[in-house]
Amino acid sequence: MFNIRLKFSKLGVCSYISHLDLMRTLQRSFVRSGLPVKYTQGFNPHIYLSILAPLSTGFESLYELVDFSFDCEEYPENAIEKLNEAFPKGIQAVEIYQNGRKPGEIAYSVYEIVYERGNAEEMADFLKNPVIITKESKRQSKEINVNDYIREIKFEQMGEKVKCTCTLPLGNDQLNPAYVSEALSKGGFVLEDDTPRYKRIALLDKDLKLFR
Amino acid sequence: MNDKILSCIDRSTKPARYTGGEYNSIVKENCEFNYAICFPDVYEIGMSHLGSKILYGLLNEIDGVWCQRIFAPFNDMEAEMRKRDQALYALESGMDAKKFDMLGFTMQYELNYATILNMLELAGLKYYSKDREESDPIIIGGGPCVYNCEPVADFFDVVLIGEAEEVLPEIIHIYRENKKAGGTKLDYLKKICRIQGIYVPSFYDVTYLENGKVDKITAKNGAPDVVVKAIVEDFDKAYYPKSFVVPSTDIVFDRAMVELFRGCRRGCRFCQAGYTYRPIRARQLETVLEQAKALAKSTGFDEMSLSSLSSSDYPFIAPLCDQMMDYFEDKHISIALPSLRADTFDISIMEKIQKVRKSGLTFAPEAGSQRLRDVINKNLKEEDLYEACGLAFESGYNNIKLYFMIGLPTETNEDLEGIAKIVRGVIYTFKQRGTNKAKGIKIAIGCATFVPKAQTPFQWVGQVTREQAEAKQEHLREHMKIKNVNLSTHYSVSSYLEAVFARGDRRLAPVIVRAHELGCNLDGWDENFKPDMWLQAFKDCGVDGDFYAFTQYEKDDTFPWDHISSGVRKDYLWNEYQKALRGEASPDCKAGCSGCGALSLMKGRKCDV
Repeated sequence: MFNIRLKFSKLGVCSYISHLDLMRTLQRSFVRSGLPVKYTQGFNPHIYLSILAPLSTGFESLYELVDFSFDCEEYPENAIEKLNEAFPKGIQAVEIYQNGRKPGEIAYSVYEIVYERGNAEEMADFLKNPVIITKESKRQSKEINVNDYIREIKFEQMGEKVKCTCTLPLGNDQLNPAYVSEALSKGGFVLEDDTPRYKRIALLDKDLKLFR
Repeated sequence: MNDKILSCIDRSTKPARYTGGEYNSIVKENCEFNYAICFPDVYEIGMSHLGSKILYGLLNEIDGVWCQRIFAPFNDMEAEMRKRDQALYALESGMDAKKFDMLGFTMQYELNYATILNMLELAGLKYYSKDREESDPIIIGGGPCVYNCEPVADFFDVVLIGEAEEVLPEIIHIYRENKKAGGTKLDYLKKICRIQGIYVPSFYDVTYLENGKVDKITAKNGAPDVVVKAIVEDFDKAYYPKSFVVPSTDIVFDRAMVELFRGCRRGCRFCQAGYTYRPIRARQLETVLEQAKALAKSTGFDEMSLSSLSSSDYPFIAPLCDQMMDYFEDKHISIALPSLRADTFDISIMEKIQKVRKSGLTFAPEAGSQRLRDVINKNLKEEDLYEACGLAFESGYNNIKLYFMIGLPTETNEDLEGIAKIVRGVIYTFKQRGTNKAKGIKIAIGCATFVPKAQTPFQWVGQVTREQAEAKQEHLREHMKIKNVNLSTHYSVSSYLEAVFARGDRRLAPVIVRAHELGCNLDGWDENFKPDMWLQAFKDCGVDGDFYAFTQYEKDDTFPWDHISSGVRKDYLWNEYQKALRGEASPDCKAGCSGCGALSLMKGRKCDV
C-alpha cells in the first residue's frame, strides 16, 4: 500500500469541471489508467480520493493536489504517463509523490487574475486604501475590508490587459479571488460585462513556503 | 472555444455542459464533410441517448467525415448567447451550426418539436426547408417520431426512417460525390429519395378532405409512394462503438450501455416501439460481452446497462449476467437491467447483478384488469406480478414502482378499480412474504394518460378528453386511499399535445412555429412548459388541436403517415385493433409468427425470439 499525492494542472475547458464532477472525472481516469488504486470498503465501494483545496468552478489551476492510494506490493511503473493517457485533455499530472505534508498546513493560495483591460498602476493604488465589500459564506455574510485579507498583491500591465498576482488565505476564513475583482469593480476597474480569468498558481503554508 | 463562447459559459449554470473536451470526444482535422448530431434537449438528456453515441462513433470512423455534437442550451445559457450574438455551436470545435454540411436532429418525442425550431433559430437558419438557402446545411431528422413526422415534415430536407447505421454513411457518401460533381441540393435529394429509409418530405404533396382527414398523398420527383424503413439485417455484426464520450459532469444515464437486441416479441398494442423496431434481431452473447468489456476499459464507467425494449426477454440473459458478473465484479462495475417484465422476472438474476448495490424495482402492468390487459395485449397475469413482487420482497426489496395508463380503449370504471385491487394484492404479498417488514412497504403508482400513436393498432383511436381523464383519475383516487401508496395522476396538457402531434399532419407546422414564437422551448422541463402558450398557438393559427387528439379514424381512411412504413402491414394492425375491441389477446412472437409483415425487410432470415 502506498499513500500518494498527485499534483496536477487543470487548464482550458477543464476549468469548468466543478469540484464534485472533478472527483468523478478523476475516479474514472484512475480506472482507465489501469493503476492499482485503492477502493473504500463497505457496501458501496468507490475509489478513495481526497482533493486538498477545492477550486471554484471556472478557475484554472497549475497547482491542484489530490491524495489517493495504490493498493499493491510494488510501486507501479510509469504512473504519471498512465494517468496522463487517461485524463481528459486539460488535466495533466505534473508530479506524484509520497509523504506529503498534512493538508491542514495549507494556509494560502496564490492566484493570477487577468483583466481584459485596465491600468495596472491605478488598480494597485486603488487597493492601497480600504475597500469594504460583503463576503458571503454558507453560514453568514459579513462586511470586510479586502485589504485585511490580501497577503500579497501586485499588478502588471500587459498591453491592454492587466495581470494581477495575489496571495489570499485558504481555510476557515478564506477569501475567493472573485472578491478582489469585486473590490476593483467598486473603483470602476472591472465592469459587469468583463470576464476576469482566474488561475491558481501555488498553494503555500503559513510561512508563505510552497506546500507540498 | 472562442472568447465569446467562454463569456457565455462563464455566466451559465453547470458550465461543463457547454465546453466539450470530454474524454473520448473526437477532434479531427481537414475534414471535407462536417456532420453535427443535434439533440433538441439539454446535454444531460442528449448525452444519455444511445443512438447518438452509435452514430457519433460510426461517422467519426469514416475518412474525411467529422461528426460533432450540438445540444440545446438551457434558458440562462441561451440568454447569454442571444445577448452576445453567439450562434448555436458544436462542442468539439466551437464551429457555428450553420457552417456544417448536415445537421441531424433526433426526435425522441413530440414535445421536442419547439426546441428544434429554437435551435434552428439560434443557428441562424430558417424553419422551413423551402425558405433555406442552397448553402445552408441539409437538415435531416431521425428517431422514434419519424413514424409520423408529418407535423414537422416541412422543416426537414430529409427524414431518415428507421435505423441509420448503414443508410446514413451511404447518403453522406452520395452528398460528397454530388458536391464534387457540382450538383445542387435538389439534385442530391433526387439522388437519395429512392434509397430505403429515405424520406424527402418536399417530394410529397398532401391533399385533404372536407372532414379534415387526409385525401391523398402523392409522390413526385421519382420518390417512392411508400417509404419503407431502413434496418440493419445482421444486427450481430452491426457497428457498435468501442468507446463513449465520458461526460465531465453528471448526466441522466451516466453509465456504459450495451444493446442486447432490437424489436420486442410481446406486441403490446399501445407500444409504438414494439411495432416499429421489428423484426427482432439479437446480438450473440459473446458479441455483447466483448462490447461491454471494451466499453468498460475505454470509459472507466462503474455501471453497465443492458439495454433493449425488454431485457429479460433476451434469449441468453441468464448466462450473460453470469459471465458479466464474473468479469466485472472485482472491477467494481455494477450491472443495470432496465425494462424488466414481471412474468419473466428471475430473482436469481437480480440477486446476482445487484451484489454491488440494490435499487428499487419497477413493473408496468399498464392496466388494472385482465380484460383490459387482453385488450392492450399486455400479456401479464396478476399472479405473475404477485410472484415477481413476492420473490423481490423475499430477497429484501420493499420499494416498488408500478406503472399504469388511464384512458385506454374500452376502459371502464371497473378496470380502474382493478388498479387499486392490484395494489392491495401487492401489499398482501408483502405481508405474506416480505423479509424487510420493519421498514414497511412503499409503493409508487404512476398513471399517465394514454396517447394513441401512429403505426400501432390503436392509431385509429382518439385520446380521451381532459374531462374524461380527470373523471377517471378522480374515480381511481377514491378507490386508492391506501396507506404507503403514492399515487401520481395529474392531468397534463403535455399528453394532449403528444396526442395531437403523434397523429397530426402537415397543417400543424405553423402551430409549432407560433408556439416557438410565443416562447415554448424545452417543453419536457416542468419549469419551461407553457401549456397556455401552446393552446394560444393553436388559436392564433386557427388550427383545432382537438381534431387531431380525439378523431376516431375509420378502416378505409388515409392516415397522414400512410406513406411511411415500419414494415408492419396496416391490415395487420387493423386486425389487431379489431381483436383488441373483442378483448382477444395475441400470442407473442415466440409462440409462433403472426405474420405482421416486418420479416419481409430481411431476406431469408428469421426473428431471434
